[in-house]
Amino acid sequence: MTRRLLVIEDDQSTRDYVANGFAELGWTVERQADGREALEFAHHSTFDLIVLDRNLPGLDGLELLKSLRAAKIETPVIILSAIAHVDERVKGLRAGGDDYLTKPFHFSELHARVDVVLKRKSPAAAAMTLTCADLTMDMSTRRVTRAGREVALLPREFKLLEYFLRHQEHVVTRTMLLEQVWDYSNEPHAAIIDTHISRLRKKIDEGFEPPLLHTVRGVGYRLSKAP
Amino acid sequence: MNRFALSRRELLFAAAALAFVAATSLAAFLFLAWRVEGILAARQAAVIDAEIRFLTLVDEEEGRPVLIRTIARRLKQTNDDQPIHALIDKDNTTYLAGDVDWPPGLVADGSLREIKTFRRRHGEQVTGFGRALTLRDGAKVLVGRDRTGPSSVEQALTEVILITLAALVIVAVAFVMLLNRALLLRIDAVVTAARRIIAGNLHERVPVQGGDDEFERLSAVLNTMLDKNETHINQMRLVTDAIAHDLRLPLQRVKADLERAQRLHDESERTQAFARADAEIDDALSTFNALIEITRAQSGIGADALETIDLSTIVRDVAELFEPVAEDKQQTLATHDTPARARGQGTLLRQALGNLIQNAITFSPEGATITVSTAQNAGGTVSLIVQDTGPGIPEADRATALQPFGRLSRDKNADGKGLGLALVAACAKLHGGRLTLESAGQGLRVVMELPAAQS
Repeated sequence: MTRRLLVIEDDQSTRDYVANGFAELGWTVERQADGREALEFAHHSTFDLIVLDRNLPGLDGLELLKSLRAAKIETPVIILSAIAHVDERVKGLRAGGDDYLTKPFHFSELHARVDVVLKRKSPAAAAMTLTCADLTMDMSTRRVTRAGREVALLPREFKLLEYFLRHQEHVVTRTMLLEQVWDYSNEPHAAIIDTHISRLRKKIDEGFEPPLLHTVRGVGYRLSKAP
Repeated sequence: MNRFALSRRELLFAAAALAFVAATSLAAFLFLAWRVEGILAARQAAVIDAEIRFLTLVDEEEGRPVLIRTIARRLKQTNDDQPIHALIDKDNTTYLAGDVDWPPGLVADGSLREIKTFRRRHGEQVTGFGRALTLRDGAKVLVGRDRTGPSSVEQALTEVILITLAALVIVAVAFVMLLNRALLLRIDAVVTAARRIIAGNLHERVPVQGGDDEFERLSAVLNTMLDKNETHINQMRLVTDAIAHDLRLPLQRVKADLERAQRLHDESERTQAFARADAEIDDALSTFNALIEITRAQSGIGADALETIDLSTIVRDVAELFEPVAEDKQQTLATHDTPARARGQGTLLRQALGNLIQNAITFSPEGATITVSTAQNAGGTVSLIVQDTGPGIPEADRATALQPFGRLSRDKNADGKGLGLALVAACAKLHGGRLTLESAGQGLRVVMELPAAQS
């Protein structure tokens, strides 16, 4: 089943960048440039996801989002904005956004966030045991094993691995990890994540086959059974 | 419009005030006139009494001819009391002396009565009051007072009232106009200053004369606002200049990379050039974002964005995040986190502490110890403290280190753009706190002081 995406963005080059990217991935993409028209459009058609610009002609992005939520349209929304400030991010999420991405961004960053948002919307997040191949995490005893052998993790490594397990098979970016595991938003420090990853990888992948924690060049990381 | 012209409302107000003052004065004058009149009447009655007794005495002692002469003499004298006299024989037939006709039917029994009669010379009607007495031979004498016209005292009083009222109106109108003019002059001063500021003279201020009235207070507040605005605008200019300067270089490099990539035929070399361009852009963007954050932070934060935060939690979380980075340099990242509750914005404080720890790790040698701690100070503040064993910052350079682009020699080889400390300083300021740099042994001790949360 092809997924349906609505891109609401008045800047044509950004709109095409997002729309073409998802079209290449096989999505069905609708494009809207005006806030008021887009709201109308969103009311009469269903989508799997909406990518919404913060500043729109006709109707402000956040107002549009509030109207959608008020009308009980719960389609996941990712807000795009040129405003990087923390307050704005909080405002966007409070208005009912599922994620907030600052322009300019790489398509891969948007794609990774879209995957996570779509997964979050699906149920079964409260599992007590998380597994990936022969890696198991027991949430009640906080024990982690690989191929039956216990892996001793520091609390920070446990948190990180839990996030990967909950989003396995999806690419997660460094900034996503900073924001969502450490509640820390500071892009220039994204490289710290690499250090954490290499520690975690040593513990869960060294001496085991196949490797589970993969680097996705130029984008981030992925925990996956497949190479 | 005439600068002396009064607005409708001012005019109404002035007119009402004027009418009130005029009515009050008029009432006071009327009351005064009534009282004066009463006193004068009593005095005149006494004068009439004395006169009639004197005339009776003259008649008894000196005889009728002397009385007639005396009355005739009286008529020649002018007198403020406007007396009237009449002397008539016992049969009411022969008029002996006087200036008014004998009022018909007047009973001469010596009591004070209303008099209505006619002047003998011109025949004008006379009204007034007086006493009439019957002399020993039955002749009758009348002494009274003419009250037909206003008395000289009444005239004087009327004049005083009119002149005073006129003066009052003139003074009041002049006063209102002067007041109005003074107000307009002072408003004009503010307007002139505002126009100059609009025209671009940001250093222009509203004139202050040093008094303590409403206008001075208004001017002082306006000037404080203008000072703050000017600081912001200058800061903004500085940042804009800095951004322009700092973005030109990476953009230049990106341009070079892209131009080179166009000419390259080798696919992997081309990919490399593109990746370099991409990295340059990321670098430029992070500088740009940091500057925007600083500028925003310097213009303050809404009180509703603040929450009560335990700094020790932030210390633990952020230290945990940076621990592996320190370990890679064989450094120890120690924490002493006693609870310290502050009013703040969590994400910004995490970011600020992250910057301080990153700096400490970068500038401390391998094997160093970095201590992150919290403190509860006397005077209602709490502190976040990061202490390193790096080279420190010489006292003279510390103020510069807190400015955006305050690049120090120690930063030259680091990849930071010298924005880290400025960002933290801006964050402290935004929370109503401050950032201080101190020496700690051979290292640097950075203290971020914040207002404590009310418990």
